[in-house]
Amino acid sequence: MPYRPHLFLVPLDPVDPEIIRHLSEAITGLLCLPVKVLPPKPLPPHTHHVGRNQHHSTKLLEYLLDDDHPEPFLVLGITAVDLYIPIFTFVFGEAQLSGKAAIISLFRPGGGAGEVRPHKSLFWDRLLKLGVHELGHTLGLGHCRQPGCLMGFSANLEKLDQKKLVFCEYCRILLADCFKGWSSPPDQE
Amino acid sequence: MLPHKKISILVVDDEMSIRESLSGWLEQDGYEVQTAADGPTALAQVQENHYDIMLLDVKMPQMDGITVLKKLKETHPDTAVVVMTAHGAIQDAVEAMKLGAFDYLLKPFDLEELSLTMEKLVQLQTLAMENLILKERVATITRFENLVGQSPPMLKLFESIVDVAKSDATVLITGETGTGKELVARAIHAHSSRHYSPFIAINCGAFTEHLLESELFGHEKGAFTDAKYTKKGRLEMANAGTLFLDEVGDISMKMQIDLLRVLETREFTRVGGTTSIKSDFRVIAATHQDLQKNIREKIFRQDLYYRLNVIHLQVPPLRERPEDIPLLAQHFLRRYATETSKKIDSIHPETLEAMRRYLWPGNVRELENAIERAVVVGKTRQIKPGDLPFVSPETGTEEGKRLSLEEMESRYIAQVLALESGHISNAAKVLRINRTTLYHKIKKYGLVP
Repeated sequence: MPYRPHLFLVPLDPVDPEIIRHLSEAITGLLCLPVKVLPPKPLPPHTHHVGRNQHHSTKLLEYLLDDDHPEPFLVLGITAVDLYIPIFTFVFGEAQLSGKAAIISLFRPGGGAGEVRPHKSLFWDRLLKLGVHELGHTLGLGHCRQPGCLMGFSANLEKLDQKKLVFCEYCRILLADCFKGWSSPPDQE
Repeated sequence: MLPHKKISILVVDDEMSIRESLSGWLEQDGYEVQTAADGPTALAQVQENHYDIMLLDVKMPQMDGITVLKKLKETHPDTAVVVMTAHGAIQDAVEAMKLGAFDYLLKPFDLEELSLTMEKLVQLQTLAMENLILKERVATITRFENLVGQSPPMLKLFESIVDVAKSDATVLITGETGTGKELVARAIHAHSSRHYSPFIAINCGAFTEHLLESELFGHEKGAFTDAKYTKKGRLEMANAGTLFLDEVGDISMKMQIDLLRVLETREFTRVGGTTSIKSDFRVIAATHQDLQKNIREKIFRQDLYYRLNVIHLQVPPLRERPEDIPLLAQHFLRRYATETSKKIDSIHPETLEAMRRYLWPGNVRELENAIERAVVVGKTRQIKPGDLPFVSPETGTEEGKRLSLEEMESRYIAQVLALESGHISNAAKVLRINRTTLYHKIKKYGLVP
């Protein structure tokens, strides 16, 4: 039985430590994964699209996986820049389905695309929803059509804000099935 | 959650990054996605696989999207096409719409735009599927008939049906496609104490997850866009009767969780409702799939399997009961001759012999279709071998398929062994070879006596 993975939080360029700490604590509580915050990695220039002034999120996922770790792991990158994948105008984040890497952007949740700058609690709420949603993909969950479920697809901030910070009962069962497939490594017991 | 019956999409774009990003997102949203890098490849893939939707780039080298669309509509008019074109090339989109494209997207587009377009398309596909299911249901009602057979495996099955009908236990019926699993379920219901109450059947494999949920649990008015009235689900309709879940091996993981809960409690709520509803029904499930294998592959829940497999009935394939073929053939001949008012009342002995030699991969359903066709095309009072064009009377194999001598020998030995119920001495006598030679040939061709 494979060991339960560690979750590494990796800021891409320095990110406000308060945000990282908040995410770390909340994700630990929600997903019951051992979380470790790694030092920031610089944003690589090759992911930047000058014309769009955005970073290519799929390339950033590959960049996050450049560093190897001895233990099984998942990695969540956190960045202040706006993200895109080629055919879409923007994305809030991206993840590898049943893979290892996920990334979220603080740009649009923080009002960076001309939206009203949100209150801190709303901003944190958005980040946490995005982070756990993308991590849900790495744990094998697809988009969910149950109303309000955290794994539901949110095309804009309004829909993101309507979502609850909870998984529906189906996604909870599928997550539990996923967790049952792991054993605790000696250092987590 | 992924939709139960996955909508299949072909993404056609010459840019790899676009193919990958689109397919990645669509897969996360529960669609089955394949890609093609150019028009000719896309058209070749369409010949090999069925696609519900094509996302098609307009500007491509070799063959542009408009040409691909024209050619596609000639052969596959049912595949819905969404063209993707650059801002400033709106005239391409207009031309595509004239040629029958469902919609267009201007690149790059918002995820929201794509999501809305896909939702509209899925609704369209769902309506088309509902229409097909309704047609099939009408056809099923007019053709309902009881099980037919006098072979030992069928007589044993009839005994089991009578025994099983006395209890209220959940039954799992397995067997190949076309063997008559629903007829077995109906027979159990007819012999049970619930026979005055309804027998409610649902083919789980024919519905999208959303539709299956609504069909099983019902829905409240306003539960979703098209829910203009409150509708009872099959679980509710089956109260006091029997619920037959056909192709239960095809249901999604989410529906498996729902079903398990209902089987445990016999309580559920309608989609969009809050009131818990109780229903007293007996469950009979059926599948052609190997559920044990599905459990090992983690696509079927073990706990649900145990809940369904309280009593297990296996319906034998037609090739294991060749003695029933003449009986079944006469049975279907009477029915279709009456229906079509044709004076056809017998089957030529050579036709019967060819039918006995044929392996019937589609089982009783295939035999029924063959007789129906023979009655329609038959010109005399007797069905002649030539009236069954897919069965060659000389070889018992599919017409037009050329077999090597070894393939022919292997098939023939397998058929004789099946006819003689695996009895080596009897089979050797029929084949006019000695037992040792037969053993060598069985080993050589990897046959199972």
